[in-house]
Amino acid sequence: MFGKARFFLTAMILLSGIILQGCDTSHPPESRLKTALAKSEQCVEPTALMRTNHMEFIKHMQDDTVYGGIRGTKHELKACINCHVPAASEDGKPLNYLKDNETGELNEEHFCATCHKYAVVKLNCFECHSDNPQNEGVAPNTAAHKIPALTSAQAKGGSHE
Amino acid sequence: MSNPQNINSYRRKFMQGIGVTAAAATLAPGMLLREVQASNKEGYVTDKVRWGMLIDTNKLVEGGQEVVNACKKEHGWGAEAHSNERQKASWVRKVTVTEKTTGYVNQLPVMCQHCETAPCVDVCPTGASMKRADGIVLVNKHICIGCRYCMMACPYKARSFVHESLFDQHADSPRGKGTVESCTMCVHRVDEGKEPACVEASNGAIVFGDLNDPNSNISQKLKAEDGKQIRADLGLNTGVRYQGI
Amino acid sequence: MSNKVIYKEIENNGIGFYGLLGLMGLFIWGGAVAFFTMEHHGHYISGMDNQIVWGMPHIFAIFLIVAASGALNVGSIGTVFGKKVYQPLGRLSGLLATVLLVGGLIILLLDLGRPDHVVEMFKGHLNFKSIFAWNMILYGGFIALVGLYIWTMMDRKAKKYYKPVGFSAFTWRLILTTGTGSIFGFLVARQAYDAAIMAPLFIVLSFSTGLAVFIVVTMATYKMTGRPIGDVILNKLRYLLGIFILGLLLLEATRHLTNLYATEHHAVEAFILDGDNIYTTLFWFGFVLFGSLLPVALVYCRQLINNRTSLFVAALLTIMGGFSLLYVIVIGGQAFPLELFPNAVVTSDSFDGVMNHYSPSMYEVLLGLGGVAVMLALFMVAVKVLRFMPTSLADNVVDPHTK
Repeated sequence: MFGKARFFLTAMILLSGIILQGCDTSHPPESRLKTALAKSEQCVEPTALMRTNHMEFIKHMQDDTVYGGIRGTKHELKACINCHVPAASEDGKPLNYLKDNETGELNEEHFCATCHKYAVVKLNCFECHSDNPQNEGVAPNTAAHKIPALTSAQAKGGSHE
Repeated sequence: MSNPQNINSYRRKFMQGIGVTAAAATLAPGMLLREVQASNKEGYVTDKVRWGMLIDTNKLVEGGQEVVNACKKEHGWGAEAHSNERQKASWVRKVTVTEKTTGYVNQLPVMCQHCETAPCVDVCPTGASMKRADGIVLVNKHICIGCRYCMMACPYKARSFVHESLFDQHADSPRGKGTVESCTMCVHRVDEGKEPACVEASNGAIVFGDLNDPNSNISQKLKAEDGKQIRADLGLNTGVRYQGI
Repeated sequence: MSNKVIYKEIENNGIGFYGLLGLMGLFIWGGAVAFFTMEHHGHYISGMDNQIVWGMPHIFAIFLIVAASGALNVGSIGTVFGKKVYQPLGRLSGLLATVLLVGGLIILLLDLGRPDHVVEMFKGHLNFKSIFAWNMILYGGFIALVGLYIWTMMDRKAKKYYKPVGFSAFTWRLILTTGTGSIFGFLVARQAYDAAIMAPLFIVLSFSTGLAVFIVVTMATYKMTGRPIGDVILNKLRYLLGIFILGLLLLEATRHLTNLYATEHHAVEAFILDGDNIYTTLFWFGFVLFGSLLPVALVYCRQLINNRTSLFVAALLTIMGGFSLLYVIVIGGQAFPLELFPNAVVTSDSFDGVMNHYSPSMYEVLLGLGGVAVMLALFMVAVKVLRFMPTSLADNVVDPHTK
């Protein structure tokens, strides 16, 4: 009885694997991720563990920070961003996780977005959180110039492949 | 009613209350586990401290506008591109008060008053609207469903709903579409031992400190000179007090 | 035994039934478009803002939820108060209550800023101090209890549970409307709310609007299906409606009179009752004149005895009146400025001290109508596939001398 179910499940998994492979053969672009990838070797946890469990670490930290006021630990989202996302992309503009703010298309050059786009997993941290590093201690880009400037920059950058 | 250790006890309470439902158990056993673990944690802020602010309106050079500017700079609100004036976020505003009988005019900044018994915390269906053990009232946006009941309940109109998608938020001030937000008393700075941005910008007009510590600057000043609460009649025991109003 | 009550699915398969269902589908589609547009862009495209935080969707939702508990009354009168005449209507009453609630909840859910975060509530993030959280449980329980109630009416084997379940459903619905009214009852911040009378007011509002919706839907369904409905049952509903409207007027009058007694409420009462704004117009013309006095006249006018059109129009007017009253309470209450400092004029560039203006966007109205369409579509499908409707409500069927 369970044999049938197991066969069915296995078939389903294999089939969906084949379909996924067939649909998406594009691999994440490596060029601009070089710094980020190099640093991933020095990550706070082993790469394999991070690949499967990073969201659990971040989620756990989320409660500690919101309820407990614990900040500056190695598992917090801000630390991930500060290490894995370069302060600016090659054209000198901040590297954002969205290629296009209007359509919500993910930007493959952004460390988090690359994988999430590839795996088709929703990435919603950055609907609220900052998606690029901001220097500690120094006041972050002020609202006055940052927000309007960025929107126009992204509009331009969006068309750039 | 007012339980100073509210966060931990809240969580324990709702864990006991809801933890039995089969739906919850099947939906997310991992999540529930996380809740339990999150309670008695080392290093969490405690109710030994209650943060508060004392604002001397006579010493404010720009009647509170400096506070508004500093807050905008720190948190990045108010520049929403699509929202109209009534929809834009407003964490703190400069209010002008003209006494009807005497005509006396006063100006003061009004923001979240960080009530001890906060109406927004009581009404929130998910517990997203919360008071930290150290008295700072926050919105946990991870569980905020955007119902805006807290905005209906707040007597100070201190809260804003984010009406559009936001990009490039400040690293220490996460804000996003569909959730409610308000003054955080610069909790990210307080946790690092710094004063809120508005206090820094106020040239001494605002004193920040621990209301529970009788020797703190703010407690001494309040004891000697007194400070008023806005809508004291509501009995909310606010963490933000005023002089000169 | 020819006058036994027989329940049957409706037989209509014609263009009328499917055309109407298609029309409902169109409205549901409109509601869906409104939701996805608002979800994608954010609420800036709506007429709601940080001053008027609850708008048109909430009025629709509250109306449907309040009417839901009221629609159950017809069944409860049969069960709890043992009035046999009402018993054939029990199934319809339960069905209507359920679909009304579902329609209302859908609107409420789809207006949220982060509907995706609602799942957190099922993961244990519930604040039991919140009336909202309680309402979630009350709504869920209501649907379950009414489902049971319908079952005890439909399944002969479950008949012995009919009374106890009916009693529980009736009690539950009273608590539910108390909860809905209490959403406004305990808001200390707002001058227009913060009165415990809100809870009983909402209960009576549910009586009148729920019955009105029941009358409209039942009369329309019987007309469209060509099934007979007699004067006995219609007159029962008719005079019940009259009493409920008068009850609502009484409570609303009491609310304003008690408010007028306290000086601190004078300003807000003047704003609602004697202001140069839409709320005053809606209150006096929408609620009092056309939503209450006119339907009462239509119900009790001697020339109109047994006149079905007058009953139908009275019920429609009552619905309009209840809607107007909710608009005045929900929007009017928020439009009136918060009082930060008594006896002072408060101004700021964030709209302190000003009467807030609200004009609903198309999306909000579409979302609200979508919820109404969901409710009606569910009702139509239910009466088509299950035995909710008595084949006849003619006088000899509903009034078989047993009284």
